[in-house]
Amino acid sequence: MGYVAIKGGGKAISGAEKLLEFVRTRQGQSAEPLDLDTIENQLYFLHSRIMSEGGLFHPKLASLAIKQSLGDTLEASFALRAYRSTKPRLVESPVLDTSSMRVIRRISASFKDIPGGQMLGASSDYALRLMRTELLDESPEAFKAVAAKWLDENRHDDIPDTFPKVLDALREEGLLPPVDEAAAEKKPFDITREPLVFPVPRSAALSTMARSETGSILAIAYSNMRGYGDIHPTVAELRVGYLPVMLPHPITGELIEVGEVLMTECEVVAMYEDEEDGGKPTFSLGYGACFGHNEVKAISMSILDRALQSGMKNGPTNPSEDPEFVLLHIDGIDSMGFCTHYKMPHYVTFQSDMDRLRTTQDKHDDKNPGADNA
Amino acid sequence: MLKQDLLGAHVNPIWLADTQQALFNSLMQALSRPGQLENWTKWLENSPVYLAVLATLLDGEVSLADVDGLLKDDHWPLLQAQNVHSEQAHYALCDGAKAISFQPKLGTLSSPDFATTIILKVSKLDTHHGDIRLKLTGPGVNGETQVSVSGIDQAWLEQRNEWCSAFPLGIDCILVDDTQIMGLPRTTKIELIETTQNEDLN
Amino acid sequence: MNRTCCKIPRSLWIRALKLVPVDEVKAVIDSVIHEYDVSYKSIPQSGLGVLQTKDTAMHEPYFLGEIPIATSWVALTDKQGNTFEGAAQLMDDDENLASLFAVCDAILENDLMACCKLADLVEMGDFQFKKEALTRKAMLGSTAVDFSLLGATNEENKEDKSA
Repeated sequence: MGYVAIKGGGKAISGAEKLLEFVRTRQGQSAEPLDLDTIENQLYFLHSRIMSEGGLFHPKLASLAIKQSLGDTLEASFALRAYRSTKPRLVESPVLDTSSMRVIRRISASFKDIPGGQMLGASSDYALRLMRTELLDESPEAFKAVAAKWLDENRHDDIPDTFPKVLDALREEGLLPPVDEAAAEKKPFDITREPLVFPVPRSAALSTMARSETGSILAIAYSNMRGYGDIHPTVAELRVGYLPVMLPHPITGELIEVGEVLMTECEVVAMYEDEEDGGKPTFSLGYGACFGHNEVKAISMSILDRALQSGMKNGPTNPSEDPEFVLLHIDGIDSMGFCTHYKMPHYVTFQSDMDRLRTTQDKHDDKNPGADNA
Repeated sequence: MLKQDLLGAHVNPIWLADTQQALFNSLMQALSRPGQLENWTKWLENSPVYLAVLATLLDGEVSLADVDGLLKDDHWPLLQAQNVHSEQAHYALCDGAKAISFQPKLGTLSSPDFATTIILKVSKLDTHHGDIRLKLTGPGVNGETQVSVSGIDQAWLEQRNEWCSAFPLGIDCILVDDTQIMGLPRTTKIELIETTQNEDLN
Repeated sequence: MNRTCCKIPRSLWIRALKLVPVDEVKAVIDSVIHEYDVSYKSIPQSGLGVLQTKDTAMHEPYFLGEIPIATSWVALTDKQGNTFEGAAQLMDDDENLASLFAVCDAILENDLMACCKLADLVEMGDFQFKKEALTRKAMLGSTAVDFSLLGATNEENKEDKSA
């Protein structure tokens, strides 16, 4: 059976495209088009999410992707991912140390007195989740006054540029496994160049999770939190900040700051295990990080990193420990693509399904004459 | 955003995207129609053809071996390719008049594309006259075609046939003279039907 | 290395120049570029860079994601035949901006014409960066948690006051 060529949809398709553009603009005369800076600032978390799920730190294009997709996070990330696939790879950065991050938020759930202190930064953690009705009819003047007033009232020159990591203090106390020097020398797996053929190294899992879809990674991490797993994580440190991106100067090789990326980073400390080889028991660790300010994603990733380490070492005992299950189901572009394709014409395959059903029905009727009429 | 070339620097056209797209198209033609000569004169502006081929095909993610030292130091940052030993290279640039000095990658059965592409410089490609007359058959050739190559060590052609004897393993070749290119993909069968003046090269 | 006009280290020039209006940088370069014959050591290009970091739990390197990168490497030859090289890479899509900054790099590094004007712009950009850094510090300072209040006898009241 060959494919049936389908014609006649061309006009309808271009009509649908134009209609979507009408929907985007139908607010009409009273409306202002969204400008990209507005999206980046007033839709800060959405913007962060798109950069992390797209896997490309490009604030301007992330805003554009949000605008053109009418706020559909999957479509916006897809647009960013599609853009990146058209660009040549020019450089690979040296291994950047995230402890040089210019922090705007750092908290710990393990100790109250962490070295350098806890600073909440901008957070909705303490919000009452009540409707702020005063924003219903916010005047531009009031809006503009808020930031100016905040800047005016808040000056703190006595804050250090960078902060020590909580984990380093725990490691010094001998509560954590020593740093695996061999792992530090490993060449990372590049998910943009190589397909995931299992088993994959941990670096492949980290990269895949860093650009995963927030809801998907949360759902699988949540299964572990609820009981399909036994990580019992404690957030050692969650930080948000700007990581300076350093690249070697083409002429001198000296490291040059070429820009900075906003990122979220989380380390969890989890259940300790008795070492099989008789070594000293220590806490196990999980790590999560992604572009932008996305705390739920970073925490989910750190829990799954810990779960996957168990699965890679001892074999999975639940879905969240199975690298193949986790890593092949958390990418938003993959999963939405598969889901969306079901809307495409399947006329031929469905025709064949119907033929087979009818044949089977006929056979059934032959074997059971008169059954349907009974 | 600035979009014009604000420095007013002169750039040889082979490094510009528009040219490279046209040349890539021409390369595809050449590899689709083995034995057909593509003339690149109008694009070159004094650059050797092999440099234009490399400029079109290479970027920072692939490797190149300059087997016979045809490139200048200045070319490398422009080409951006990693400079590697000939046995590991994705691309190898060779002088056809010189003897073969290495074993290229022939790919693997699961990934025959992981083979070396050889850019072979000869002195002259011509449809009628030359040192060695070749008969080409295979995909992309209507029946058979003939072409003459000058300034090539005959051993290259014999060795090339040997390398391509276990399809899909093999190498793809791009022959270049001063102004023209010719594709010899691994699928093409080459027969030497006439050789003259070969002793000069040996 | 005969640099005297710019006190800010080379590693921070790009960061500072990005915070200066492009037109101001371009105006300075336009005023001197005709003194040189410009050529490219590598073709100005825009594309992506992959960001490699190491996880802070196990210190294992991995790729966090990709960033836009524009890059350019220029050579300026003056009328006496002296050649000066400069290069720039920055997180941007515009290779022409990279070329502009590569010329700045050559001028600042070699104390060429207009280097003092450029050095002023670099200082201006550096000031902008420091201003932004202060805002970030204010974000931290204004939300620093003071746990010492927990230990105080009159715990409840004091927390109330600080809130």
